[in-house]
Amino acid sequence: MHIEKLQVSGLRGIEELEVPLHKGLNVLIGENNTGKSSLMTALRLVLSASTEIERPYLTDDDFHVGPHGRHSEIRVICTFGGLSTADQGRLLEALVATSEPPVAIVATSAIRTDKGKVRVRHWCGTSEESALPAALIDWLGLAFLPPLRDPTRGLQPGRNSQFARLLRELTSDAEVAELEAAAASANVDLSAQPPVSRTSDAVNRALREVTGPELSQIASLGFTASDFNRLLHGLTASIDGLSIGQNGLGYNNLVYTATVLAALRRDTDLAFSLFLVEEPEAHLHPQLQALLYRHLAQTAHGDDATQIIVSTHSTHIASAVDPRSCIVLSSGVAASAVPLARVPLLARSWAKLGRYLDATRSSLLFARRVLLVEGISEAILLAEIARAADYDLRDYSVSIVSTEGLNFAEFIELLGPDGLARTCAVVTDADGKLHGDRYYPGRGGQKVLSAAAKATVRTARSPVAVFVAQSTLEYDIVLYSNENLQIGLDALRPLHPRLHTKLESRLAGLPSLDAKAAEFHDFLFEQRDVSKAEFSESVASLLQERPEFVVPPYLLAAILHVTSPQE
Amino acid sequence: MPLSLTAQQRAVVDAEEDGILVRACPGAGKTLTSAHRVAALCRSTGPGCQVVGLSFTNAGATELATAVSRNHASLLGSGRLLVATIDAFFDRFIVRPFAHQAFGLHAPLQVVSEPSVVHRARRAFKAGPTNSPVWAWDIEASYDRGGNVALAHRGRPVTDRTVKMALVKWFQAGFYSHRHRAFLAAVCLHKFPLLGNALASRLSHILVDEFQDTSSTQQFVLNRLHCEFGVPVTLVGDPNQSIYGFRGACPDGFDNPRLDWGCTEYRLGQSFRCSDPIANLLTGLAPNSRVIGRPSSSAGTRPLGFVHANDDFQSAIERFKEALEQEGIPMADAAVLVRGHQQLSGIVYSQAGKLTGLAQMLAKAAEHRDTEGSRFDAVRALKRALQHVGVEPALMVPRALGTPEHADNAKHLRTAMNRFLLDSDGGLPLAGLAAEDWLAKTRVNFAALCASLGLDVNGLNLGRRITRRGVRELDAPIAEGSIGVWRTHTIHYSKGLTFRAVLVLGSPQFMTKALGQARDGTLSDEEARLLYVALSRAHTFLAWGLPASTYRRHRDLVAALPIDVDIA
Repeated sequence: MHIEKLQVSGLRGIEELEVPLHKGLNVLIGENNTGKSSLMTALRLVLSASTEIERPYLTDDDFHVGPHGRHSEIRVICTFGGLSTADQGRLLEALVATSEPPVAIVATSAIRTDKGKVRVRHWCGTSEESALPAALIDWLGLAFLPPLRDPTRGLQPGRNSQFARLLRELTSDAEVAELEAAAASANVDLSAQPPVSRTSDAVNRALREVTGPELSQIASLGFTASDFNRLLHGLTASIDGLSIGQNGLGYNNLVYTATVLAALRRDTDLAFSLFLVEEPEAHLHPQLQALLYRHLAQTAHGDDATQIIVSTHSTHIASAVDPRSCIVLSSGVAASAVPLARVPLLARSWAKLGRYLDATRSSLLFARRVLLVEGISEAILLAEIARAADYDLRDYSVSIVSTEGLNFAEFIELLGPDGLARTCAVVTDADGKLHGDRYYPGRGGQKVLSAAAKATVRTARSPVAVFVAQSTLEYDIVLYSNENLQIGLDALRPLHPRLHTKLESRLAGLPSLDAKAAEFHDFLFEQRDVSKAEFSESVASLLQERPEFVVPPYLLAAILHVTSPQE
Repeated sequence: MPLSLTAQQRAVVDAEEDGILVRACPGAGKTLTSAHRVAALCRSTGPGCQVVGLSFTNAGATELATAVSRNHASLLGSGRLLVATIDAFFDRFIVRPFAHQAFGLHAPLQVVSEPSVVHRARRAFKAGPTNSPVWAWDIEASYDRGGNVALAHRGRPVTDRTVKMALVKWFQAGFYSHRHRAFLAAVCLHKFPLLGNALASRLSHILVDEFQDTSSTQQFVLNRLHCEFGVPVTLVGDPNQSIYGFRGACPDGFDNPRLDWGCTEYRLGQSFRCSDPIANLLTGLAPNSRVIGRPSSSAGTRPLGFVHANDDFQSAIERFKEALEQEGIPMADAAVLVRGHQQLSGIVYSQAGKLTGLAQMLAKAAEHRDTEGSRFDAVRALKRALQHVGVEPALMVPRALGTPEHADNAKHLRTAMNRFLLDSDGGLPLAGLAAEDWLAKTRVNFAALCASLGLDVNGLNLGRRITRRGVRELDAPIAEGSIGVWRTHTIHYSKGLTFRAVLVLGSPQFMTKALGQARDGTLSDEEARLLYVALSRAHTFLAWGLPASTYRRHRDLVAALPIDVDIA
């Protein structure tokens, strides 16, 4: 059983949002203000019906303010799917029998009264009039780890200590008796120690002096009572010989999380438990973040009754998990939540994407608009070229993302209409060949596309569009004006002075700009092995001072596409 | 395991079969055994599952819950056990969550019982299409003993298709009544097979106490849950004690071949209530189910049959009193059980006549309230009592609420009167109390009522104007044979209770019919079972009022019973 859909309306920034969730680990990814925390609050509202500690407190300010003023109702509906027959039994009162396969609905509505009070109602099934039965509440567990929490407090000895909770879950009735007996006999031994008996005598002597021999009662000293609950209060841990208080905040966070998770999973009375972790990156350095995520993913994997939802804007976390467990939130006119698992890709492609995200720590998932390029040279150049065309891409929240030479197909699917539906311009080379040689069509010539470029063009669907060079980026840069060619030559000079001289003399004999551009590319990148990245970097450094640079048309089109106003 | 259980009871508690039927004689400790059984079942129930203990009436469910909490204190709060009436169980698990889904509605069906909902329901129909079937409200839908849907309108069977459609229209409009609940449960179970499976995984056991009082529809639903979906059941009951026929009880639920429970049968034949001679009489009436008397009670008194002139209950009561004195049983331990409310109030009235003045007025108020259920007469009697002590009559008229100067006082007075009538502890005591107790309590509570009426009328404190004379009347010595010497109940009320001595009274029609039906020894008729229930309430001493005409008609039958007949 797991929550397969979360519908929220009227809560803080969320006017109306439906979030599809899947079993196991879910990672909510999004920039600030996309509603990550509100979704956490929403889930807590529904599932904390029984546990006071975790229940969020709603005030007037939590009601969404829309164009027509403040909403008067918050509504959170959790739809549980993947129900086994046992689950159906436990969630009987919440079942929607008419759906196939059956689902169960557990929900909470909050209404703002005129007097500023908030009335919260927990309900289930198909109607708000069906109150949530107590038994059902008890079977749905929730643990919430807020951001920037103080884990030390939760681990300190006491009634609410997580260690105590875990010990309680792991102890049978017979063992309770044994524990109590052991503690009682230890108490007797301790009380018999000379310091204790000396103190005891001193107290009694003082008592007799005050009350006289007639009225005095015998006070006996010992250590705290040995019943199980008191024992639980005293339980604490030390890590590498350090007490909890002496440990670092980050590590305590990890200990706390692990203990809460273990206690939650041990609680056999629960039919389902939800583990909410909000922005765990707060105290953990990147490696620990990755380890924590691996643990969460392993915990959730193969356990039908535990669902874990994590919200983050850390690229480290986003890169550490299977991209299929990510749900990308975006704000704007129509807020949306897109589970990446919905993107139709083969398992092989997912693995590839996962490795890519892991290796690049890519901000791909956080971007609103994407300029997708093949490699580092394009990435370096494009921002500068856009600036030369009077577009500062940062103003348009455009991220330039390099696929590092990988095939575009998976990225286009990911960003396409079935996925994140981001405005995206793919900038790629034609890389066409004729009779085995690179083909340079010139300015007006017909492009020849390589098989890979053809495939890229074929897969793209709005809002993703593909923009193809006449041949390659480096060729196209020098192709469109003599000034561009001069900039190209100027960029080469500091890198390879001798090649520069040689190339200049070769170009001098050529009749047209088209032929010069072809010779430029062929000489540097086909016959010699000049680094494209170095060359691009050098060009980029020049562009600021060379207003005469003519932006190649396909790049201009790509920039215009990616900066166009959103529908 | 409690040591107090007999081997028979223990066998029931520990039974491991998935389905058991327990036939229990009167006073066999059904409820105690049921309580121990649900406790034992709860202990073996896994997390997320529940054991359900059901009874037919609210009183029965409360009794079962009390027995559980007395013997297994922590169980009721654990969430593993649910004790409720069958109706409440159907409502919570089947009808409320699913009936509206079956009829394509978005909100649960509403029970039409409160006037506001009735009104809304009728209006919804009047506003609807022509020929709105407002009359369909009276249709009763059930599954009969054969498992077929049966419709009846005001008790008369109907088969017309339009009748069925009319009822469906009510459901589709979002309304139903209590009498449709079990039927709706059956409909839901039929429509959503997943519901049966879900219930089977949620409920680790259903125990039904007082099974003989369940209706054929309820039996049908329970039977489907057990036989089709495999929910384990324990059905406890005594077909001889089925007396809720007017509410649709179907006494042959154990033996209906159509249901085929496939259960192992257990029997609790040892009564812990009746002495041997009384048990023998019960066995004489229903030889098929032998009752064994209380242990070591074989020397008890044989039941007496008082032959009395038709409807002359008084003579039977006098003889009962004499017999009680001989036996040394205090009157407070005795009870008179009668068939109907009318006879009940007749008997109580004859007692109250012996009081005088204020005491008599208050006694009348108590009788009206407790026996006939007539609040109006009770209020009138109380008003007369208040006038007697000097409360201004005008203040007690609702009209006084309209006059501004009296409004507050009148409201205060009416509230105080209502509270006095409703609260039998702090207000008017129960008519059935023993005389001394009744007067003592009345004295204190009525004085408190008078004291609370510190009404201020036109500057004059009414509290001061209330005469002490009237209240002092309550201090007068009790007249001989005053009210409430013993408890007087209807047979239906006495179900589940035990009295040390019992006198059973009834009209000649009732007794003649009951005895006539008992002649075949199976108690197949409800009147016969009522008589059986009444007779089986007695612990030590039983007297049976036989109207002369009944005795004449069934002399041979009475002679064959182990009973000493006393012809006055």
